[in-house]
Amino acid sequence: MNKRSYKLESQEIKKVMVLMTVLIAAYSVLSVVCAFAESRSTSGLALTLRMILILISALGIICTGIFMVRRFYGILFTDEGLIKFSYPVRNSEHLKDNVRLAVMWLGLQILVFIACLGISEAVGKESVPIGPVGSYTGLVNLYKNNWMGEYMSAPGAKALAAFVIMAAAFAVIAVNIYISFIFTLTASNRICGKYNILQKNGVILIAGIAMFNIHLLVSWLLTRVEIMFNMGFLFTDKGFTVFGPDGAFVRDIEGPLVYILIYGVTAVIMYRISKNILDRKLDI
Amino acid sequence: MSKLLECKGLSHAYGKKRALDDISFSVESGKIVGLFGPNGSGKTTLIKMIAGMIHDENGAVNICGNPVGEKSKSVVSYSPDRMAYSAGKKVTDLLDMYELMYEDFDRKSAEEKLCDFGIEISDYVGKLSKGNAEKLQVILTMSRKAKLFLLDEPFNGLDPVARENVIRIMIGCVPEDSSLIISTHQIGEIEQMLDEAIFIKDGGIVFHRSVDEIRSETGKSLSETYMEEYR
Repeated sequence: MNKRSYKLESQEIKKVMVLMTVLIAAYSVLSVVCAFAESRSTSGLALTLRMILILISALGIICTGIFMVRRFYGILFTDEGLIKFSYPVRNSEHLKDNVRLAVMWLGLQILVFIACLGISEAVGKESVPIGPVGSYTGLVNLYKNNWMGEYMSAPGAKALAAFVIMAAAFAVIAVNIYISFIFTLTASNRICGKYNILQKNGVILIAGIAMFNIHLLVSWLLTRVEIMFNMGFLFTDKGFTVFGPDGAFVRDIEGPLVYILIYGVTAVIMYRISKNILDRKLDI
Repeated sequence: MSKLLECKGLSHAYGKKRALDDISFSVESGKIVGLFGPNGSGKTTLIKMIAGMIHDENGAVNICGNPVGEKSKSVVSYSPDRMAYSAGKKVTDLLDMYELMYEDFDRKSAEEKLCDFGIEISDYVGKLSKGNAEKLQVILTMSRKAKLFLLDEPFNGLDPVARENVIRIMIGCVPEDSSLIISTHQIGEIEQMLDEAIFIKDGGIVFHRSVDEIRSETGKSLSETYMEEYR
């Protein structure tokens, strides 16, 4: 990253920092309260607080996404773009910064949320300190209780690997959804700018249609791949004997791996097209 | 003198309407150029293309030998035809932003000029009057040591005294080897400071000549020539 791009990014980081700090502080406080309620065996209250924690974090993640998309919308479709695109950086730097920051902030929020959930699960049930160890123990308990896997009888490398792969799949899907918003905004700027149809008000319509089609395509691709797997390409009809005792582990991770591949590739394609439009076909 | 700006074969359309049609011209270093034409003639589109806001796949814009991009934007200072700063920002935020993004920005000079115009740096942009907002934009643009200044309608909403002050800033702030392209309808007020004039009509250049040549050949002022051309 060159000096000017670094300056651009540091400027953007400052702008979103306040919102992110407030959101992360909110779920951290809630999770501590939840853990406290759990330790006092007021399980009804703990359950309610945990639901609130999940709701607030979901809302926080959605708000962050909307906030970051709105920032990108501002530079493409409002007069703000006249100043931003005159900065001495490549046009696509604005895209790179926006996506990088969005992924960073969303990723941080998701990690904090998962950690808080783990803490609230662990404290009160076992004598573990609040912190990374407690959080991991809590998360493994959550996983054991909610996603039954034969290899999950005790935490270990496979459990951690499965958890990380599933978390990565979730992260890749979230990034894909975010990039598809950015892609449709960029494509709309190109279409609306060039053909003067619908103007800015048509962006939402185009964005909605494009997003729907992108996810329809990805879902279709996923279905094809899953059918291929389930038709015995890798597994026998007796049920996963090819991999022996690891069959359950492979079964659990093959879906997320497929998601990572397909959502990852489509995200990269959309990002590259957006970059090309900004660098070579901008119309402000 | 070397060519600071070269435009070749620039075209652009908004839907079916042709905004620019195969425009080519060049500007040498150290020139102050007026860009004139009626509303919708393509002045803003041309300035946006030079500033890098609009790309033409077939034409070419070179500034100091570089195509429009990161390098050219570091030597071009652009003021759009409308207030482009967020209303929620303070003047000091904009000064910080310019200082951060442009190495050639002279913050001290900008603050002095703002003070001369009675604009406080703690003021919110949204609370400034239309005229003061325009002055702010021009001051920020002209407080850089750029090679090429692009001012699109810088006198919008300014009273005659403010226009005179802004003109004085423009003349005083343009380095000797830099060039300024200004698009405006107030031809009479800037005529004396211009070296060259470009007249645009329906997306094409009608003529691009030295102001002294126009006056000596026609015996008329630039305003009169404009009226004759576009009546």
